Amino acid sequence: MEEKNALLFEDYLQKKLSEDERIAFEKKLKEDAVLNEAFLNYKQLSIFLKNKFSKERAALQKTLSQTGEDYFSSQKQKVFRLKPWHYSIAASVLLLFGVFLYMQNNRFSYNDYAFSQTITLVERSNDMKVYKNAETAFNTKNYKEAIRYFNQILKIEPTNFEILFYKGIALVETDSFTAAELVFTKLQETNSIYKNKALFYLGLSKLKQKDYKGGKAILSTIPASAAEYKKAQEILKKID
Amino acid sequence: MAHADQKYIEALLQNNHLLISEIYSRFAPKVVSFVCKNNGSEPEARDLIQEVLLIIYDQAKTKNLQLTCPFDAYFFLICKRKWYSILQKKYRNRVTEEPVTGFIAESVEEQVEETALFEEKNKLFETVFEKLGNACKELLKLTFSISSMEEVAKKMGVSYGYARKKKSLCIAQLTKWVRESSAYNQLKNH
Repeated sequence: MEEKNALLFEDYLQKKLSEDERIAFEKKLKEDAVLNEAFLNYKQLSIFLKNKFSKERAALQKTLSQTGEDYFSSQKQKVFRLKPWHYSIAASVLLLFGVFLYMQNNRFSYNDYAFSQTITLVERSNDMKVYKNAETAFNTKNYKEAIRYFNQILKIEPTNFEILFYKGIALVETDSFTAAELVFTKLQETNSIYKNKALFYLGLSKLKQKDYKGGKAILSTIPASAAEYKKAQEILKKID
Repeated sequence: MAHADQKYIEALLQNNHLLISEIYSRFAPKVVSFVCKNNGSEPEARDLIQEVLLIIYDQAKTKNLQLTCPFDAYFFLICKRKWYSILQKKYRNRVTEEPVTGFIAESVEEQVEETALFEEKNKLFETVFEKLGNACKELLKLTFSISSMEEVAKKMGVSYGYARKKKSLCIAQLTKWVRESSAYNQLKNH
């Protein structure tokens, strides 16, 4: 039953039937309940599959996991701040380590805050290789090469903010500060999840160039609701 | 007419990062505290929230979900039910669902029920898809991620006619399994 009509269902859904064939088929659907049910199942499964493999769904999945991660990490910081005994523990630890170490810890060092995670890029079905190459180059700190791959991707997908963000990081790592700052400024004009992250790394880029005044001005604009807020405040204290 | 909170459904459909952040900051705390009070942890709450938002997206995308009740009540009740079903699996039926206390508006109940049935049906589709052989799986994946069937045929090194026929037969196999499944009668009208 299913096989016999499958091609007809497919052609109808793809609008490949002639006008006469279409009218005849629709008439048959109205008269034949069994056929109608089989057709509805075929249609529903097609819709299901289309959604399952859509790029939009993959992109949303990524946003959800990133937003969830940001939300829960900012919650953890809030909880930490709410527990007063943590301050006394921290104070005792600092006392034990002595004033010298305390001073050392309190000095700002770019490497303590530089982007250190490995990245995973969603594989697009059309051209997977360039994403994989970009990912490998970035994760093995071949930033110049990574930038080349990022540029290739951005040519196809100019609004891929994730790639743009990683390109910004790679530019700071290779001391291409002007280009990096352009990228981060562009990201701030978007409503993407990379907005505050871009602000943070823009500030960090200034600090890497020893522009403490500029870095301070930028880092102090990061809102308290952002996941980067705590790190930014920490740096501000150190460079004060 | 759709509820004003339909904007959150639209946010998922449009992948609007700003509003999705708002969903987390406004609606996640209640879910997290519920999960943590009921044998769960924060990471489990995080996975639960993500899974539920994706189901809502799927329903909105494929069934044109129109919210007729507040998002808060709808979202929380789905999370709650789903968490109980996770617990039941985890502790092998030793958990009984606590009777829902307090007043739940009929519109919320109905909408949550509709989403639950949608999810059941999606799971059934997912299960039958997994039963397919690799050739069918690959072909369907290609035909639904590349819009032109001519291109699919070219990529697979087969003729257009063959690819089209094969696609329809793979889907026919799925519909056969769906119709034969025990859950089908309960789900077929949704």
